[in-house]
Amino acid sequence: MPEPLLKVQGLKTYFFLERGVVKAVDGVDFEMKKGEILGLVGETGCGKSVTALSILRLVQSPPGKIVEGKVIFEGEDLLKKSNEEMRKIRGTKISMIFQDPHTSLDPVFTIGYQIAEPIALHQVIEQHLMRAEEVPGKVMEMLKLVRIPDPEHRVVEYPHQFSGGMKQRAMIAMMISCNPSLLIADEPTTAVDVTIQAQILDLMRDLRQKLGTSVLLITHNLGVVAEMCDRLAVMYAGNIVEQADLKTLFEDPKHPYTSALLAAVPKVGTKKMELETIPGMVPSLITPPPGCKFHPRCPHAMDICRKEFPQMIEIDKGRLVRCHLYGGGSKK
Amino acid sequence: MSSRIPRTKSRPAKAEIAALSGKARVSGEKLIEVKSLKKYFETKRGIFARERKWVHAVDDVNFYIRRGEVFGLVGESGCGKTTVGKLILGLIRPTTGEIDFDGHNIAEFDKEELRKLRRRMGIIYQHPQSSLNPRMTVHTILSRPIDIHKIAQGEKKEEIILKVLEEVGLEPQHLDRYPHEFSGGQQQRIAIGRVLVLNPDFVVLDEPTSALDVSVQAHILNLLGELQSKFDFTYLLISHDLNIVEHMSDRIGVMYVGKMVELADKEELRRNALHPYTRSLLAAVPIADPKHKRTGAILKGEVPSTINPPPGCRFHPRCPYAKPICREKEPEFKDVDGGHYVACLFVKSLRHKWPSPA
Repeated sequence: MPEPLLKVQGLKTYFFLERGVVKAVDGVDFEMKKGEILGLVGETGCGKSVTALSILRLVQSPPGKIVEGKVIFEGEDLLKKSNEEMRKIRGTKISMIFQDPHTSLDPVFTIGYQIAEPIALHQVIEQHLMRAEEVPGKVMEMLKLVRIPDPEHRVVEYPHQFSGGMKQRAMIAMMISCNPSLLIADEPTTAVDVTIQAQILDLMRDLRQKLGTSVLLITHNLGVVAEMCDRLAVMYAGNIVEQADLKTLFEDPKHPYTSALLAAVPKVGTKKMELETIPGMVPSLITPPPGCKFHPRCPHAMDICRKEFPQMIEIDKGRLVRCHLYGGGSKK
Repeated sequence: MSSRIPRTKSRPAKAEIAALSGKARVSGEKLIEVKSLKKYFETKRGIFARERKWVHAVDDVNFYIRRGEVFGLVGESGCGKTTVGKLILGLIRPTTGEIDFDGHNIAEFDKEELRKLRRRMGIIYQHPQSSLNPRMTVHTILSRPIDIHKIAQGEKKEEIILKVLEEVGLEPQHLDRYPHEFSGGQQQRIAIGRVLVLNPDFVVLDEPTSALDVSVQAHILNLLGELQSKFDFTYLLISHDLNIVEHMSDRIGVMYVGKMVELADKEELRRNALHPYTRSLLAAVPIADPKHKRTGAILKGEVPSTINPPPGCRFHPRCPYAKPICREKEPEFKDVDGGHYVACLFVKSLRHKWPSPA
């Protein structure tokens, strides 16, 4: 078996606040193969964004701290790297697209300048892969790659002259300009309209084809996931509760939370009726419920669920579930 | 009382209908009708700006909403859907056009008449955090509308508040708390309660669940549906999320850059969408089903500005089937098939399958 591109093991990222320790990521394990699109889904506060930030070591500290775990990327543990080494990895090997392109772009520099910056820094100065004169050509090439119309004129414009969809494209251009092997996209289309979302998703699929970049796609939108991903990991209250390939997960969800989440989505083409709901609320991450964190809301909760935290069980090849219903000491 | 709004008249009729069917029924009677509605906003003028520029937020829109139905309004940001909602509530005044609410043109109402009218209307906004006053307790928030419209006092008022609290799924002990002590879903319940205390006829839901998570969204949508059948509300549901609009609505209107481009029954729109924009919009919605294959081409280009909307058909720069005439002639919004309205010059060829784009 080829070495996975990214291997996250027992990752724990806590935030130390006055009112207590927020266990935002509380033991996350997953792997990503080369060229794969892995979807990380879950609701607000489940820890999906913090997982992404931890991989890049961008968690604000204090109050945040990665307290445990390993992030093995191309065979090396990122958590053991120096800050300087990390800086070189960010943007060249791993890059990240954020939800809101308005706040990710600097308003006082032109789009072209901002795309040129990582190229000049990493490719010209650090790695000597390119000469300075070649940078403008590369910028133009990137703009064309992300399908910005009329790039010759657009390159000297400022972010405020770009629409939301165009800004997100410019962000993508910037992020893939150094050919990263992993792209982390945190809710990349949440801030744009549906027709623009369709364009951006199409662009990302296309880029994966052309460049072979692996994508860790973080989203709460199950529709986007269904269109984009090869494999899915579902997060709940700081843990991954289920992992499977896309089709299997949608057709046969095993974890009660996954099934509930899938049933709660209104779908085009279904009759008007009651949506399935999950009773209760997302638990506090400071004092999570004992045992399985989902047990207070779970329709199948048993005694053991209230006491023991369930382990991840591989019920089929590549099919992982963290639930007492599928093994351990429990019988149905 | 010489109010132009006959408040009591509609009530028994609604109750009867509800009693007959056991569920909210669309009576066919028009509660709201909007005729040639236009709203232009003037843009901020710089010191050196010579000409006045106008945002054509809503530009000649016609439709009606039947009593007891859920009318969905979809479109992308800046298409004017929220402006339509505000115009109907009388929160902003139309530039020209008519808004009939229960037989009265509210575009001509004065302030006092509008204030009285608002007792019969409500709105639920996208962000409950910003639509609830952070310095008011839940009790104050819920009693304000009752006080303003002098609906009840003392014990009677408390009775209404407790009843509403139960309807929206909150507990009496929540009354003394402040909005920040609640989760997003609960805040939205408070906002719904604030509308419910007036027992209005008509409620505008402006992106009611866009700020919420999927599982909370399901709770709120169910609650809104439940309340609608219980109290016979008429809803105008404004959303960019076609999944939600499809789930909730009876009829759906599609807006594009200030214009209504298509309007039809939910089923009709899904099976037989005619306008090229509606088709692209339907195709662009991601479906939470891996087996689903995307149909139709991805729309090119961007939503044009409402300051200088394209001449002719506003969709022509992005339309895969645009012909030269689309650039000049503005299409009429016409009924093509018993309540299915479309604004496209090639409505005849729309009846058949579109040719594949060149």
